[in-house]
Amino acid sequence: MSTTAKGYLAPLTKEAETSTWVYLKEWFCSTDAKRIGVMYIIFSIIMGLVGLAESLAIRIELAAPGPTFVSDATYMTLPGMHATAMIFFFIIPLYTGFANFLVPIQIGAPDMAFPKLNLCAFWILPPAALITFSSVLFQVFGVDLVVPPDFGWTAYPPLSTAAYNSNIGADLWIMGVILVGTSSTMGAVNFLSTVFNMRCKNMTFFQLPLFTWALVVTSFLILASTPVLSSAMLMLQLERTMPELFSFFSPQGGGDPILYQHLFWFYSHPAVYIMIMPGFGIISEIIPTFSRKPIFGYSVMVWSMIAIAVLGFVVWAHHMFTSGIATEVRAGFMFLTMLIAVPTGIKIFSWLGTMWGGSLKFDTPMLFATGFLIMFTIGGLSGVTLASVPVDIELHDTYYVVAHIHYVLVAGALMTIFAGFYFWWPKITGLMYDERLGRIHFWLTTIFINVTFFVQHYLGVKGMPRRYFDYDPSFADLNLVSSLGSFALAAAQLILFANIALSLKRKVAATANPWKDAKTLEWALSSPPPHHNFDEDPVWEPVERGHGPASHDAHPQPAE
Amino acid sequence: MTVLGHLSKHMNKCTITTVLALLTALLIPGIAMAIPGAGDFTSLESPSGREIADLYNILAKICFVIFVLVCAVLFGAILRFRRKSEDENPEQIHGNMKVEMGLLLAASLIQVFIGIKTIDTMWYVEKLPETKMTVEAIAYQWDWQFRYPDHGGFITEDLVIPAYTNVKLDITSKDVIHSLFVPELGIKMDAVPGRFNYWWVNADGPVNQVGIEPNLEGNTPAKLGTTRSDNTVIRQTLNALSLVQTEERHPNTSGLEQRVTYLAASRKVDDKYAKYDAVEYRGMCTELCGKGHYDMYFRVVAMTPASFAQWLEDQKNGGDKEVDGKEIYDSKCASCHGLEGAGIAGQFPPLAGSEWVTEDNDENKRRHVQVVLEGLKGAVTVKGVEYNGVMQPWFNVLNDDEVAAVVNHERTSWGNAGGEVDSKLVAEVRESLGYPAFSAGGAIPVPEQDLISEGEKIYAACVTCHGADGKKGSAKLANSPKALSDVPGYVSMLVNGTQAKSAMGQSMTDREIAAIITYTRKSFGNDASAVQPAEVARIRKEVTK
Repeated sequence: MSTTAKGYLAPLTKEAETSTWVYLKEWFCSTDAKRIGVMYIIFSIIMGLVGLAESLAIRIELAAPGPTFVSDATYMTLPGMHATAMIFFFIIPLYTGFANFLVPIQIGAPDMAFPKLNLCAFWILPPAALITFSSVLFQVFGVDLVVPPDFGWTAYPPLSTAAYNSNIGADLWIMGVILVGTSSTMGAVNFLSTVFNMRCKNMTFFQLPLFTWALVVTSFLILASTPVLSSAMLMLQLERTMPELFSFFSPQGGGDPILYQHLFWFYSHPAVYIMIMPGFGIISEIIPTFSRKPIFGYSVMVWSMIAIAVLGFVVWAHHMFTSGIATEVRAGFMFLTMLIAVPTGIKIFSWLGTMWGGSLKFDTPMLFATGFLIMFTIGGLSGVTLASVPVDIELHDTYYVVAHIHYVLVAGALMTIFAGFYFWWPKITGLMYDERLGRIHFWLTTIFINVTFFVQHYLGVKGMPRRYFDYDPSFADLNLVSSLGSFALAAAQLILFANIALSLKRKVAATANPWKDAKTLEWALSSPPPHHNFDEDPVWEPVERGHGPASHDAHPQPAE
Repeated sequence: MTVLGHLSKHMNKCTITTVLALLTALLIPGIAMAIPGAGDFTSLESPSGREIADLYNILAKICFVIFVLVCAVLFGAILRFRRKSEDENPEQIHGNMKVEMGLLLAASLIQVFIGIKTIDTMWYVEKLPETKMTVEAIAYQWDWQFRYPDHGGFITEDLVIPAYTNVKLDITSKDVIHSLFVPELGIKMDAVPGRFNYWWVNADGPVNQVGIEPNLEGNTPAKLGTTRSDNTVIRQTLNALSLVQTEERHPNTSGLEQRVTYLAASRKVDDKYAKYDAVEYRGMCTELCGKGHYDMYFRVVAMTPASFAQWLEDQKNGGDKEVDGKEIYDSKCASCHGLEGAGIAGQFPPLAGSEWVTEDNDENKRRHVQVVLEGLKGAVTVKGVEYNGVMQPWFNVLNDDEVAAVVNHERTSWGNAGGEVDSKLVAEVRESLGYPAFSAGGAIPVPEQDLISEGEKIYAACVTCHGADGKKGSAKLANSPKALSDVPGYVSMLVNGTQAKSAMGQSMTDREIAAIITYTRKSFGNDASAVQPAEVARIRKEVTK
């Protein structure tokens, strides 16, 4: 294989230098967290493209009212499979990929605590994806034997029971989701063990970089919530396979469909934070770097993440405001939900505080971080609106909710992913990317995210329900705008791939710290980092983490 | 500073201008929402809906102010603190406890304010006021039924209510979870099988609409044209992209196309409600419920009290409506059997040319009527091919005339020549199946053994509290005085619930309640007489008042 590859990318054996297959095998069986991280990232990007294709099919169908592109039966499978691809196979594993690469280095460790478990956790994903999406393959090739489930990503029974969704595609979906849950639980255990046991000298908890902190909090969330999803899925599967014996959720057998919703959202609300918390971490690394200033209020940032995580567990019922639970209960859940906006708001103000008085340089990662700040604020504010019960009763299950979730996950999570991708690309590959293409990518992405999703707020307010195959013609114009926006948004992503290709072709070597002001340990290593990260055990030079202005001579540098 | 320096500074300004221009472009949609009317809530046609809209407007304003503040700080920072030279070294501030805590406090205060404001509205919107009547909304895949228990329990496909009157809605589902949504009235509530959720509505009536719909002044046309906008170019392009031709995939236009006259927030009432003084609102389903989720539109027709009384009268007398078998078939049967009676392979058998509907003899006719009345479950063979689907019973939806009309439509269309039936035959079959005459209470007693075996099945849902032997805890049924001697009390408890017991029977039919009562009166060592559905119907009417 390429003999020019450096650092952890370099082949380990003589054989691998000449044979691509051996080199690939070396990667596939590697227990190096960096290589596993890169495999996670590549895998997620592929799955992200699957999810993107599903979403484009949705937007083509909705571009004009009336049946246009697919049949109603096919359409009903699209939103659920789009969400499944994006949530379980794109955003969550992509963050795990970044974390695999960065967390061990940021705490000064040679690798993860359980490298083999790490490899195992990754290799669960491709088969899980194959199981979950095999039904889509059948669908694409026009075979009716296996069809994807049409119960959305929420799989509410009784719609998801065998009586209403008897096809094996639904069983495959459930199996895939359980496998993904297993994989991310393994990952979470591994991250926690790593951060708790393998920090280098002087790396106390309140010295940890915020990205690592974000991963600690996320891992706790995963550990506590994923088993609940897995049990809900197992219960559902039992009920599907043996309807005579089990009826947890079917009212005919004395079960309660609302029980499933409680179990599902007990996972899936924290899952929203699983999908944004690492992004908070990424932004907290990027903004100080490009502002030449330490993060504003480090400890408040940490505690607000912990507060979001704790509160995230006691707000799940706000997804069920119209399911008929008691008014008093909903009032409680509403208050807790609104409280979450407080630590989230504090984070936004802290990022602004970091920028204020700094020396701002708008390279691509910083552009994405800034765009994230504004658009995530919109997503957060529409969240506050939705938390208010009476307003939610009007807006629940309309396009307003679709707009909100996409402002949080596309304008939020995806923007942080892009920011992180550009930020660490030189570190991961040892190559620089094209700054101008990066900027074009940013502007087109930002503009078309708003074109695509902002109008959906309006559709929701005017009463267009979500997951509709056909709609009231008075919504036609805005739907067309949204569809055109989504096509342009998808096209803009070609620039990212062009940039990647160009970067790999030009081979402009990156220095160890191309951003100059990045302070965490990964920037003390060469780009790309060597196989075992550190030649000798690093010692962290403690950073001022207090409040108020620091003395001018304290300019801590990471130890070499 | 050198010329180059000046130039780069100038360039910087250019970039700043671009940045500002583009970000302003992003702000426009945000500002557009703040302009009165642009982002207006739709729930403006009922008092509680208007409360919700008011609350939303307050929230939107608060959110908008916060958004503007964030933008102002951010743009301020972008303008003031851009890096001017490479060796710039800003002051290393690590935070400011006072500012951070101040922001924390401010954010909390805003949230508490919003919370209190919300709870205020919530109690007004949700607390059930004194209601004049109750309508049961029953969802199924993929349509709605509205039952009027206060008026003999007849069933309609549209929600017809008196305007300016508090009406209680009892919402449930027959199969999967649906959700009842009427945007203009600000009501949404999930229809969950196995339980009744309630909501209430007080819809604005025709008075409020004067001047809003200038079309109402002239003669309302008998049938309004479609409001579907002319997107033919886009539709054709999309169809061309698609691998399969639309015509092949969709032999018929969607139900939406047929009902589109009253969409687009049009408040005109037409055809069958044209003679009443009324306005209508669009109702739909908002919980994913399978293939036909998008096609569960219903009308909410709010009438003046006089018109409503007239409408009730017309319902009871069948009105002056001519029964049209084709119309009933298209709206109720075609979703499974196809507009041309072609059926769906494997699930729903064809009707065109089917031996079940084409043999011109009495036995064949009776079987046909029976299937329509009681539905069908399990495998059947039609034209040599096996089908295995579920057909719902229609005995409580269609009256004898309607059943006869739809049966005749099926027996004489698509080349079928199976001879006609009349409503007398339907009445006979209905009676022989033990169904009550439509739509009043039942007349022929149901066999005791049937009630017991049906009741036994229903009792499976009661075992958790009452035990398999009816002797569990304080909720003993064995030898219970209520079960043995107080039938009205028993019915009332089932229908209305008590402190300790939820209203389990609210979602049950009279026959189901009769079955469960009979079962408990005959089991666990109890031996009391059977209770008939007709008796339950009578008691139910009394106790629900």
